[in-house]
Amino acid sequence: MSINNSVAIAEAVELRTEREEERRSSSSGRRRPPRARSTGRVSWRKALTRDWRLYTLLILPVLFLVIFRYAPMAGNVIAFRRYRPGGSMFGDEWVGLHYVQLFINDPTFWRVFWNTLILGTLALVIVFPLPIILALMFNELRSARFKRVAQSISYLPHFMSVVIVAGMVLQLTAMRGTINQVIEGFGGEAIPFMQLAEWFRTVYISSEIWQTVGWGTILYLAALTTIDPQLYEAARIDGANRWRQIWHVTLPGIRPTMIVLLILNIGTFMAVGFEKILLIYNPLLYPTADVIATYLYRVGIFSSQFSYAAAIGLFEAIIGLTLILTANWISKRAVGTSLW
Amino acid sequence: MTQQSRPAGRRRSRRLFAAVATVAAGALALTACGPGDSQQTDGDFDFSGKEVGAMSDYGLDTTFVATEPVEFSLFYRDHPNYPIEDDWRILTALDEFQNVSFDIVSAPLSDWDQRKATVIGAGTDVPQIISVTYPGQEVQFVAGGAILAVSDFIDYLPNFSDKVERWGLEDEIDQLRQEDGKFYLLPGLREQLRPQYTYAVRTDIWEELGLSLEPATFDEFADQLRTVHEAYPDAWPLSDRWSANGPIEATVNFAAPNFGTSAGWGYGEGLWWDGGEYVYTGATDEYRDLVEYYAGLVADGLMDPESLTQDDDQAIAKFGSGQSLAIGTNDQEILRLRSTFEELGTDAEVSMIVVPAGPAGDKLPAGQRLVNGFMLASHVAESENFLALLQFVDWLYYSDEGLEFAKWGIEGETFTRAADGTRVLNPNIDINGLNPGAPEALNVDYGFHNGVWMLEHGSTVDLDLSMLRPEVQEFVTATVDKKEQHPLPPPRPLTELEREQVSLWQTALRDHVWQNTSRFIVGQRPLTEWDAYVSELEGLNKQAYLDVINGAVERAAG
Amino acid sequence: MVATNLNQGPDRVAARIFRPATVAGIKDSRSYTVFRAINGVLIIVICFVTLYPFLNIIAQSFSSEAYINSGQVNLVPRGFTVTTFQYVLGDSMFWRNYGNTVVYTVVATAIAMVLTTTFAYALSKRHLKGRTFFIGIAVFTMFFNGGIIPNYILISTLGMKNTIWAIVLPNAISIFNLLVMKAFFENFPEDLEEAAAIDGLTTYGILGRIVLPLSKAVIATMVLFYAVSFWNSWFTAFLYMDRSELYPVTVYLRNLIAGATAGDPSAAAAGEATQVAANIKAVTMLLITIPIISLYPFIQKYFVSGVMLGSVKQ
Repeated sequence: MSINNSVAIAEAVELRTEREEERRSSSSGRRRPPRARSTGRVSWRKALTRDWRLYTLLILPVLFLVIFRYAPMAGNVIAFRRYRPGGSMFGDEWVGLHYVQLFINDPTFWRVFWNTLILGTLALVIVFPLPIILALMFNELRSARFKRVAQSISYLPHFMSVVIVAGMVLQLTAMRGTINQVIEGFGGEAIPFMQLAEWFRTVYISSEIWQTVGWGTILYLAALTTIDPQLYEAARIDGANRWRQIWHVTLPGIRPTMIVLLILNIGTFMAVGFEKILLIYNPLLYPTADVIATYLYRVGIFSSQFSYAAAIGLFEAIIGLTLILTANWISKRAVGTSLW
Repeated sequence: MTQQSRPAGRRRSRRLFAAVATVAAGALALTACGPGDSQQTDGDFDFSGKEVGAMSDYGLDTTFVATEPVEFSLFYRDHPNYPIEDDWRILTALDEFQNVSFDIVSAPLSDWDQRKATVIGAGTDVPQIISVTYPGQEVQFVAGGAILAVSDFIDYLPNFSDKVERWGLEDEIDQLRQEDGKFYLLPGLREQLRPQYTYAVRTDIWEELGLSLEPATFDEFADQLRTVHEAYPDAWPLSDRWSANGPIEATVNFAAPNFGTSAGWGYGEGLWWDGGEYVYTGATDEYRDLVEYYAGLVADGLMDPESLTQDDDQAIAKFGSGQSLAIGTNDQEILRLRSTFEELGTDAEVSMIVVPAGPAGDKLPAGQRLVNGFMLASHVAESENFLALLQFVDWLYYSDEGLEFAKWGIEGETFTRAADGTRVLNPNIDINGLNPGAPEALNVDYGFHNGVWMLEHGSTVDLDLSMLRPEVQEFVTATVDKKEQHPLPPPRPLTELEREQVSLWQTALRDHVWQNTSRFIVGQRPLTEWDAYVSELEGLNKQAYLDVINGAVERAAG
Repeated sequence: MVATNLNQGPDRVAARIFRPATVAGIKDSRSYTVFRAINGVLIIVICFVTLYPFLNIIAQSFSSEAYINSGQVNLVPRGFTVTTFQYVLGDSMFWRNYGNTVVYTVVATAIAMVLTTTFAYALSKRHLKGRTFFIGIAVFTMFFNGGIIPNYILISTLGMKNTIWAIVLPNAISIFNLLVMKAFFENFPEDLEEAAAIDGLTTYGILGRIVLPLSKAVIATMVLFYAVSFWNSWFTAFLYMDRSELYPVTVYLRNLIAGATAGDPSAAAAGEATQVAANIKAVTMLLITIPIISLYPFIQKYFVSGVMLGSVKQ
């Protein structure tokens, strides 16, 4: 390619990049070209005539949501009624906020609530960035074959059943398990991990990292493919070395994906792995390992507290929804990208 | 990271339900007296229109034959070891001889309880007969009216009533009664309880060191462990298992009665009857003695503290590799340990010891004679085959003939009876290792000896022991002869509201007990802090809980 | 661009990985070369850490009971035996259920992809009136659901029990996947769509001929996510199926594990139970995961640069 052509292409790509940047940062609606975007500007009639095909695409999915998600939601009403299994959900007593009061006044509930919160936050802060880093690391591999093989191996842990993973964790942390053997090899003293509540969070987060990092890279790798190769070309011509390329091309390229995933994960961060904890924990670890789901499981052993569980479920759901709305709003203001 | 629907999660709680139920058991035959007259017979039920297929002369020890072909819907628990087949002999036989067929709704063993709870809870298409239900599991469905109050129909279950009376189970049945005085579950009956769990020890090492295989007391057992430890300092004398939900639950369950308390699987709702009122088990001195014993074992280096945290596979691996020399076991698991050693070709041998006596003597837990049974959906009362159904379940599950049929099969077809009355399984059929190498299995190929149709191994002592290996028969007989049961505590049925409030307290209290039992045993908390621990329990509504319970006792008695 | 380097250089992997590259006249900086070396080593370590437990599982599944019970199995099978495999694979119900799994997965993934893709595409159009509302009702369902019993009543009332619909419909749209796909579509260059519109294509045409073919990476990813999720699911099947021949193999195997390890005395099994208990978990895990793991390499080839921007400019 002659220099002139390269320059021309580079300029074209520059223009494209600028336009893309502009488009991205303007999605908050501030400097919008005069396209009718918000409500009130276009009437429904006009919208339907213009976009009716798009609306037809919506029919089936919305129908799905209504039937399979919203219809059963009426069942959430049992959080406010004294539900008797086998009886009608609507025909029993209305007890209002009785169950809500029940769990608010239950000190055990708050302890497990905090544990859930802490574990969820740790998972978010520690586990979330790692797939990104790993994806970038994969991206820097020159050998395509090595890259493919390494990727395929890295996601194997995702497929391990939770029962086996729990067994493995217990084995690794045993007094004569691998970890303690290494510690003793370095001259330290064996640590009874499964007896000390303060170690649980580390053990749990480590197992989560091991299990989810490889699988989490898949989405980012898909995102990496959507980065315009000519951007790299242009950056190289501008004299950027690989580091700067990563910083100026790669990262911004996957930023939308990162933001979306971050917001989604913030919204669902309270969904800590119930089954894994149930299989690993023991009473000595209750102070840190006991989460809402495991607590409800134990309560359920004494008596099926459908209504109580439903009330707590609603509480968690409200928290989750609030968080995701807040995260979305912040993201829109600060970065320009958002879920909607 | 895709979303999946998360089940509310109440799986694998079978054992714990059984534990809860254990508290509700144990009529002592000593008081052969007092025919415990709390049986209420409701006003006569009108069976008109509901007698299709029923026998007019059905009574005790009559063979049930439906007068017309009848079909009952059955909630069937599919066990993977003997998946259901439509042409099973048990099904064809019932059809041929009893005129009874089934509409089977099947659910896998793995999540049986959850499926059952969902179907009954939803109330749609509930099958008529709901099999494999443990005492205590029916309570959640009572208030919603989904299941039948079977106590109203005792008069139509002659075999059931007969066995209850003969075996002195009235008090135990009373434990099943709910607040309205009725009971809703038809339990499996046991003539005699069957002890199953104990310690398995390395026979070769015990014999080598001259130790008796029948230590008289727990202290003696501890001394034995000490001797073993001195001889083999590199191995753990004892490394235990079954701590999935609580500290060494199976072990403390069989040890506790000898200390005068209950623990582990038997802990249940944490209530102990001290003769006058209920006290909280976790706060009693007897419970303290039990904890002290095990704390002592750990402190002396005799029991592996990981017993409380490891999973079963790890414990078995330690025993199998010789890193530990004793482990908790039951009569099935010991076969596994034994075959491991055989296959490895070592000289190791294993055997079960009879559970030793403790400070409170040589005791067995109260009750234990009402075990898993079945429920009936409440809508059977509207079925035209209602009476036939009652007669049928009475015959199959409670008559001697039905029990034998469900367990052994058909005389002449699957087994023969020797002159002295013992049953001999046909040589081409195997079950429980009686005819190893036989091409067929009684449950897999014929459908007999199936947990859905066979209640509690046959209920009678005769049937129960009939298929056990000699080793197990000895163990059972020795234990039952040696030990005495604790008396059965009085019933304490709660109202719906009480149960709701109380379950939260129960959970909090039990969590605290579990946690501190573990801490005391592994030595994280010195036993000198016992009193502090008891006062912590006070702070968890212990007294309020006991007040509700004792109030319920008075209400039931008065 | 990464691709330009692939056909150069010697064949020895190590040299290829660690050799500083020269591209368009600009040599990699020293620090970057060091980074690449460390990168390679780290990735090898990660591969080892993730592969090792898997190899252990494979070893266990071929080992005999005794060796597992004495903790002697590590990376290599000891007392090589295929008893458990024979036990499981010899059961015709296993194969029937496996067939069910395949059918359920394929149908469910197809339905899920159609619904999710159309939904995501429609929602990615910022000018769509009511868009926020529709996104809102979708996100809302991420947090609030009816619970097991209301869902059971619904499926029962609709008469879907014991049919394939009870498995493929209730979880047809994962909102998580929906939102990710929407984000991808939002970043799809508008000019291509505009150019196609000018050429006379309708919305459907644009979606089918322009957008989808160029979004292979995200579609492949979603197919993978959905397929794996449906393949591994057991809960809906267990809840809504009354007969064992309708189960997917996950329920079958889960049941097998429960039966082999249950301490329930009244379910005391024939002697064979004790033999399969030790490695039943390992065997079942392998049988379930091997096919679905093998799916990824086929998907990988779609992870190529999907958006050929150059084609518009030239």
